[in-house]
Amino acid sequence: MENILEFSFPVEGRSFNKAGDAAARVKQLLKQASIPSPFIRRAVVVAYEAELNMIIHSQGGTLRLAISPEQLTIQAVDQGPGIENLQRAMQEGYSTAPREARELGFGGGMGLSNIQRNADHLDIQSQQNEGTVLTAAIYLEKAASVS
Amino acid sequence: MQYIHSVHLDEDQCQACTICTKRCPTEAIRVYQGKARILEERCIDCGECMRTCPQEAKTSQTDPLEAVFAYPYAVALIAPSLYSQIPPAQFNIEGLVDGFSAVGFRAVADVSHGAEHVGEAYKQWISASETRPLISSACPAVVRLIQVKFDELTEHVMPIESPMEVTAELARRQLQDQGVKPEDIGIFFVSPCPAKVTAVKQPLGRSYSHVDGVLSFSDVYQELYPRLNEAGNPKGQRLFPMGRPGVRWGITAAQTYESEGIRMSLEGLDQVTAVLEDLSLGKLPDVDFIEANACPGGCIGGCLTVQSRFQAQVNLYRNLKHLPAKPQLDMDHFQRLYDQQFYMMHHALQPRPSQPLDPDISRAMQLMKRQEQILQTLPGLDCGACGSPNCQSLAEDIVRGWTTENDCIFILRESVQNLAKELWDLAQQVPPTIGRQKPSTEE
Ligand code: SF4
Repeated sequence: MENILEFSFPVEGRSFNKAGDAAARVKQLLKQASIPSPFIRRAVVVAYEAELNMIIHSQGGTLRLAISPEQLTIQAVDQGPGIENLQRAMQEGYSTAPREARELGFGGGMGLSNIQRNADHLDIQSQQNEGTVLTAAIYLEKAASVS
Repeated sequence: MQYIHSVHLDEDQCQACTICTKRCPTEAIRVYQGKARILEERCIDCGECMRTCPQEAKTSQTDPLEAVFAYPYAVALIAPSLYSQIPPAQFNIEGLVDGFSAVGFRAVADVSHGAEHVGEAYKQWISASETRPLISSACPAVVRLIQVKFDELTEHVMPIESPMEVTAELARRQLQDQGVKPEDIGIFFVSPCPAKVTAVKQPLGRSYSHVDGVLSFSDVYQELYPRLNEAGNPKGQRLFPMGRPGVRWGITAAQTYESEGIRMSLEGLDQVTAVLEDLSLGKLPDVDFIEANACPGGCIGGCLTVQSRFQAQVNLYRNLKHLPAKPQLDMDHFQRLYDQQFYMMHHALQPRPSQPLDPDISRAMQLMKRQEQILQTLPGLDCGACGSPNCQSLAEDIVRGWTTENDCIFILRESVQNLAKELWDLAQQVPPTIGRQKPSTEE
């Protein structure tokens, strides 16, 4: 477990104009680390949706990336209202995004299901009125056998 | 792999100002030992550095006009944007063909005609393919930008040949049908930009080009302009008809003329890069087709043109009036060719991502750790005085072993300050022979 490289990117709540900045940096770093591109693609989707969730729903937080030779971990830690009903939140098209976000074309209710589809493991810990910690992992072991 | 480039640096002109390092869309330029250097594997020959260099030290290598005379049957393959370079008062189609024949060409083949073919092929491919969005393959600088910097989007590029390549092949066929000997035919593209030069010398999606040479607009223009409307001997022939839709390809927002679906038109590398960044995050999934031109204004803004792009736009619109409003494409002929896969690239475009720090993940991670540490020590001003485009890329250049931290003038200044302080401290510690007071022996 010692061979882990971590990065963190602050994300401001409601900063719609910056949506994607952190995910774009994640992409750059993963390319430098010679992660095979199908994994990069999935990690970038996860990072972008997680980043977007924080922007839409929270007062801000941190997006973290951890790279190890075995797996990529993306974690979003925010201070926000928490997720009221996790099961419903996971459903495609279910959205609790505020009007402000929807008017800008965000918050279509696909975020969490998109993350789930692209991650090998997903864990969400949420405390109402405190915040949410979303942790998604993408396993790289299969990389060797695939490529 | 060897990369062939059209854009080169004239070392004698370069004053090491570092302006180009910041404008290059792929961060392909570094300044060291007082000269700008282009990293071969990253350069996409977009010509942005030619446009921004205040010393005009960046040049594009094209073929000399004399190369044309080596062929008994030279063909001028002219880009739609050429129609923007001729002042409306001097313009008429026959006069243009005459001008080219006076310069030494036997025929003129309009890439605008090929553009009408390709526009139709795009439409059919958009309905056949499930990939969304599809990105136009007509601008070779954009295609290479995708291969190099947005390699994950390579499969979004239309697998269809460029109008230039399509026109060249049609011209060759037509002339051979007329009985011209294949070895006599020399096809020369008259190019508005360096990216097209490279697209001929190192084609995209195929191993050879039907184009034999590339001439720069500006070189040809000097010869052509005084000879417009002055027929040569023998008189030249115009190989293909075209309408306004084909010629409009010289300006952005002309591709997939009158088609259904959601289309987006981009021009200039800033716009193109911003949208490609969005696409790679999975945004814009509803867009069907993206036309993307590296140059502001489209091809009329190419850096080998002679008119300002605004003047060029006015000229083109006025000159268009001489042409039929509808495309002049023979649809049966088109469909036959389409069904024979005539328009398809010969092989799939390959992504050309920049090298990871190390092919081994663990070792790359070590280097990234160092890179982060270095980045923390850099001032984050992106001043560019080190010769790298910004602090982040300097940190990367250092761990790649290309350069050292002292390239940063802020770090250098700090080092000098520290050194000066050490010197001062040292200077205080004077040896007894200088500093010790004389023992008072007098009294
Ligand atoms: S031609 Fe374009 S890609 Fe090549 S060095 Fe100049 S600005 Fe960079």
